[in-house]
Amino acid sequence: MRHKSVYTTGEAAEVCRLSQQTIIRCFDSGQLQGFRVPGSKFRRIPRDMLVKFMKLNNIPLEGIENDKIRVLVVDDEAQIVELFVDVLQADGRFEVATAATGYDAGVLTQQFAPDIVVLDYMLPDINGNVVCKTLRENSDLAHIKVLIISGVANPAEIDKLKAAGADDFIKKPFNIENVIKRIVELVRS
Amino acid sequence: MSQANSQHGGLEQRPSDQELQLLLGSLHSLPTLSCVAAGLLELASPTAAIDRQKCHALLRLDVAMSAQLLALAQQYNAGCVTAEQALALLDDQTLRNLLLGAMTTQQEGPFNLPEFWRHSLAVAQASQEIAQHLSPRIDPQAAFTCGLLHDIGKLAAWQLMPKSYARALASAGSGGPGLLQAEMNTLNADHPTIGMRLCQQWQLPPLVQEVVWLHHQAATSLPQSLVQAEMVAIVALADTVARELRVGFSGNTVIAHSSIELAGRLGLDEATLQQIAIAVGPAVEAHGKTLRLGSDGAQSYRSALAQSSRQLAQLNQNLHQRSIQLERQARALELVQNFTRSLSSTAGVSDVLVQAGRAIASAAGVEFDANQPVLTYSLTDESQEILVACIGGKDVNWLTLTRTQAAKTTASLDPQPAPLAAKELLARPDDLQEYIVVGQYLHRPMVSAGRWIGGSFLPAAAGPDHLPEETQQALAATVALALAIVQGRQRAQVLSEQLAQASQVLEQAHEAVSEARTLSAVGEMAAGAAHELNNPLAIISGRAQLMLMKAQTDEQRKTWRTLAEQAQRISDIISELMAFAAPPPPNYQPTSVQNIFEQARQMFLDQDDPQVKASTVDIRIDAEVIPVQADGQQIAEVLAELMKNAAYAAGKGAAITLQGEALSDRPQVLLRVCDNGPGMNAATMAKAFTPFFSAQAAGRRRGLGLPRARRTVEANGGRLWLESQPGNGTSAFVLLRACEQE
Repeated sequence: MRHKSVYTTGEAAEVCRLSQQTIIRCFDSGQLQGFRVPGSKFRRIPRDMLVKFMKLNNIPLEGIENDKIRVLVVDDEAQIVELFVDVLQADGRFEVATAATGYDAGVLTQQFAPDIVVLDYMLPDINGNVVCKTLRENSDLAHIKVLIISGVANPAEIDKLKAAGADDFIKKPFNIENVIKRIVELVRS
Repeated sequence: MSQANSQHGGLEQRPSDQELQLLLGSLHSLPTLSCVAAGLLELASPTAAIDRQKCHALLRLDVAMSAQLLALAQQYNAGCVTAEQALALLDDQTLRNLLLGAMTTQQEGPFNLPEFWRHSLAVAQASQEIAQHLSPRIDPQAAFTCGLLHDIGKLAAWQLMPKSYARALASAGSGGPGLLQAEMNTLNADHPTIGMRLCQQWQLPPLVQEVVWLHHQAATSLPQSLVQAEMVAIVALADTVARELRVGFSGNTVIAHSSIELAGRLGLDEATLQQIAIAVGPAVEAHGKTLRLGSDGAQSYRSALAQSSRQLAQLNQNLHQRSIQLERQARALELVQNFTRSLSSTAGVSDVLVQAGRAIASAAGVEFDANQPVLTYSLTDESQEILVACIGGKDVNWLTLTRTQAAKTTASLDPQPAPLAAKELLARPDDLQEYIVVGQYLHRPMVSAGRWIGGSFLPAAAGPDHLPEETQQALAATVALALAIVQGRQRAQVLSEQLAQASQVLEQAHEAVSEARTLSAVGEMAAGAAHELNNPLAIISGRAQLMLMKAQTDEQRKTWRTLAEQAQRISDIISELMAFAAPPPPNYQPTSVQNIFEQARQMFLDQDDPQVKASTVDIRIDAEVIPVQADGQQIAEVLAELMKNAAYAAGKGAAITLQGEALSDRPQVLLRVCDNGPGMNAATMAKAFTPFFSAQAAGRRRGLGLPRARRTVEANGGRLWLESQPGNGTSAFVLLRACEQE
């Protein structure tokens, strides 16, 4: 949510922790600048306008300001996790947390509040699709993106994962640039 | 017998014992009176049943016939002494023969047959009466018979030596020695002896023998071991009574002992004797009437004989007809026998058709040869085909016609009448259920259990030697049954072969299933292995990429890049291996060949490969090509792989052709990928489908392409193979199942 370039009234309300009605009224009154989707009456608020609005009204900026993408990496192979950590930290745009089991992943999702979970399909205690489903079923966590990474790329499996709620799938070994690009795209959509 | 008589009739000397024995040996029947013979002939009608009552009435009174009757009966019940008993033992046929065999004699002379008959009847009657009076021990009927036959020796002597016996009678009558002595002088034996020997020869009961032999013997000098001495005494008495009464002709005028004396010895008083004597006369008269003695028997005998002859002639005619019929049936049986014998237990439809044709033709008396053959054919419900045998003498030609096609056959058939007729007739099979005549051929259907299973065509002109129609039909029924059996056996054989095949298929399916299970286990293991391998590969690749990002020099950059690429290559090999081990199942759809080709071409040209870009792809599809039943995507991938091979083989300026061909006789479609490259030699071709064998000099060729392609095609129910000539390019063939036509 933090890294969107354009927000809907609902998303803006969430970021500011206000009601949607308030945002709409501010939008309509001109306090909060934005635009309407051409051909409809839907309201859109560009990021910088929203930031301006928040600063003007002294609304805490943690909902929007911390622009580092929060990534939770879950893999039982320590070397893989370490690789991701190095890669993401070297890039500079990310804040990384790690977990080695499904259980830890659950705990850290609550604690760390990631924007995206990079998840190995085969974990020692639980399968990746169960993690997906759990995330999707929890309305508080439903906005978190899930990127599955795996050594096995079976088309039938991939379809099953996507049906369970995964947003994308990447095969090991992977191209680092592609993975980073993918993470950013997913979070920003 | 009459010949024997004439031989010895002129004998002047006495015959010796041996001659006498010989003569007697030749005597098998005695003559009877004409009137009696006529009566017997009338009774012996060959068509109606015999009136046994009347038979009995005549037979019991006739000396000659009684003797013969008794003689016949001895073989059924030795010791049977009365005519009634004897008659009961004979069946109609034997009785008829006896009656028909009644003989008469033409002899004239002093031996007056009718009178002799009367004498015998008198003695018989008297014996019966005496026996009745005497005691219940003695059977009166037996006494009657004994009395009747007592003088049979005289009749035999008269029959055998009429002239000698005439002299004996003459010399006995004119005051000379008694009859017995005269007989001895002339014949060397007296009538009791002759009679006794005759009885022995004819095996008449001992009782009769004794009476015949000893009735002139004095009672006191009778041997001890007689069956019934009393019977002898009774008949002696009866004989004396008859002679005293002068009933009939006995030829014997000497009365040794008076009747009263003899009667006294038996315990009969005079009064009883008188009674008996009085009763004899009328009784004899009555018997005489029954026998029609005194009538002119000769005339009635002749007419009876003529009647009898006519009846016999008719009988003969009937038998002759019957024998012709039987002969025909025997022939039919022989045909059937030959037919069944010619077939073994393993005979097939063709064997039966050939043998049936021969048998049926033979039954119809028809000649057949190569110009005028006999045709037989077999129909089955499950096949549209009709098997036709053209039997021309020794050779047999075979035709196979289909029921629907028979109408379409053209004149290219050999223009002999039989095949043409067959073609014509079989073109309208519904008509063939009847007998019809086309051209010179007659058609006979073969029907078994109400089903039309075949038939025969015979030249319509029936031969002279043909069996009657019912017999031919019976033969046809037998043949039809044999054909039905053989067809049934063939069906059973086909079914059992199909069963064997099905078992084999089932076996293979079992194996496939267990192989699939193994494969899926292997697949799981492979997945696990792939996962295990890809993790370290990811680490290697990732670290190399990170180092690459921080690299300072070109050399360093090259090193890190190489490491990353190679790690990726290892991973690609693993992926290919996994795909090869567990190919994805095909999604069968009816797909047009055009679609597949275009998809393949697209996949091929999309590749970022200079070799690919330099190639041209041509598509050519035959007009009759129909859609195939396969997974279009997978087949397109296969073709793309084949095209890639072609491009690399042909090098710069590769011209690749995609061809689609329809196959006329099978429900399949043939796809072809041809190139104008250098082709492959035999060694390379042999290894083409071996995983990881690559004859390519350069490029990332991993050697699993062709094996995978073949796997995929086979999974789609097809076949993949290569044909190549060095210098002539290579063609890859993909054979796929066509969609089923409606």
